[in-house]
Amino acid sequence: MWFDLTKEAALDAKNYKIYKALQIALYASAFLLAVYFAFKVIFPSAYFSYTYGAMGSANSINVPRDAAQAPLLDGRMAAGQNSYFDATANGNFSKIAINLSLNAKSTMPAAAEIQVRKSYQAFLYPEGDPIGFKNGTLLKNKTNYYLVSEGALRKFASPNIIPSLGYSQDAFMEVSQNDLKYNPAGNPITDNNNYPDDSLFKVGDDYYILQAGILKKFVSTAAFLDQYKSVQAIAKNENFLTRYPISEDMAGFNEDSLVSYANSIYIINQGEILPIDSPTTFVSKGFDWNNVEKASADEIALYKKGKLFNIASPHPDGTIFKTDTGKYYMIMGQKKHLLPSDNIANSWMNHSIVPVSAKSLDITDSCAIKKDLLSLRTYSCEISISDLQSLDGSDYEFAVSPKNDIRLNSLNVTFSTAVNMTNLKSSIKSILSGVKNNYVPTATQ
Amino acid sequence: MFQLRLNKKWLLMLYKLLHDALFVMLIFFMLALLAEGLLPGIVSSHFALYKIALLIIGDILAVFGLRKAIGITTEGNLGKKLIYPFLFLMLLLLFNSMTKINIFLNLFILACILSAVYFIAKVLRED
Repeated sequence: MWFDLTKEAALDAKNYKIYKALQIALYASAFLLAVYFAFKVIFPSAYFSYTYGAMGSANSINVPRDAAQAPLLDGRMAAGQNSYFDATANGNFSKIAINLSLNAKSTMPAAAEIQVRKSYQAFLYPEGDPIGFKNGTLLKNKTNYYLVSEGALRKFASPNIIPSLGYSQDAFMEVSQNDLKYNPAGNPITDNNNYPDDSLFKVGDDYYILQAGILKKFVSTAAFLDQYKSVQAIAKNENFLTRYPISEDMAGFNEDSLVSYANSIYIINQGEILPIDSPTTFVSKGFDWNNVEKASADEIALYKKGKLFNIASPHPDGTIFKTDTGKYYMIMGQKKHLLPSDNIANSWMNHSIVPVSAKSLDITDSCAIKKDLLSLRTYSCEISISDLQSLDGSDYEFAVSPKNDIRLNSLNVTFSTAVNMTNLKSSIKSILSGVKNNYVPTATQ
Repeated sequence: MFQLRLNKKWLLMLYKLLHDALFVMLIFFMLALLAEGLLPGIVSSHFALYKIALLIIGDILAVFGLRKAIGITTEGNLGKKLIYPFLFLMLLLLFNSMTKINIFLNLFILACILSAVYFIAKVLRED
């Protein structure tokens, strides 16, 4: 019997034939729609836009900016200078189509090139000055001993001060003279009785740090060990706590640490915990599940809950990137700062490190914009990004360099995936990996 | 008279096709929910699920309207045919939504839900 869900509605033989033909057409359309949808999932595309004058949430691209990171609020792009905008697209895309729509008052571009780089947005920040050792680090160079306090290198005036203050010899890291030049020289430590700022202490099971002459307790041993090694803390008894005032505030985890509480994973950023919105974001940001610290309610209560950390959020201050060439960079104040030696990097590195491709700074793909045939003021070009596919990260930075001043009304970019066997395999692998991560979040993609 | 007969013929056909469309959309919705359960965002990042739900509701309302217009009084059997697959799907989605908790607790909660559904259905039938 023919598949009929409504036998109660009988038709005569002639009309039943028409119904059967329409029914076959309906099911065939549904099948084609399913195939089309599967095609869209397997060979995805992504669209992003920015329109001047549109309300915030209507734009999926942040406001374009100049080389000094200042926003281009009126859409003006200066001749011969790079103007930048970013888009975050997770997937193995093969090409990007870029459309620039000019303002009615804009001059027509004589020529303009658009370059694209792929990496993590924070790693593409401009490079700042190198950073030296972390506060609280104890250093040794030949017969000289130092403590890094308030960013400065403070030399112990005499080796005898070290045992009298209770520092352990094992806590001092042997470094080269060259390593010491990245922290400015501070006043020598001459006092046998009083401790310099950023000294670390252990009283009973609790850890403290001295900051501005006030003792700040670490919320937990885990929080202390997230920042320092236990050997760096000077063991003291309870009486010591009467020597300095004790802060009501507590010290917590390292900036950029990953902590989990209940079913959520958070990233720490400037006194806030930012909930990571999905396993996809976690993996696409280069984080490692093994670096997630399980936090207690007390530890979590130390922080205010911030906004969601999603795939378009840049890595926060404190993030350390390690390139495949062995260099370390730390993000601070929208700049990436080189950690010039392994010793300096080690002083900062008790927490997660994000691996990144060094060549992502150098590899670019580009295209020259051309006027669209069907529009008076729209210019576009297409970039093949197969060179960028293997690089870490899912953030794309576009640099527009017009030959004459132009003014934009809007811009949009469309990422698309080429239909081929490699992308099919890669897409299926990525879906399976995503399913696996959803249930057993241990693998990285 | 001819106009009325013609209308009824097409209305009957539309009624039958709306049932088929409802069946197709329910299958789509079921598969979409399963896919979302396995990998959140795989469907909803391309197509909002509420749109399928709205289409299903629209289809059901149209079917009810047509039943009245045509004057069909006997019950269709689409609901009865689909009740067991959908019950199974419901249990599967519930199990999937609780995979983060202990598996025995998960199964216990499912058993409780199944019992509650069974007894509620029994009470409704008696009424």
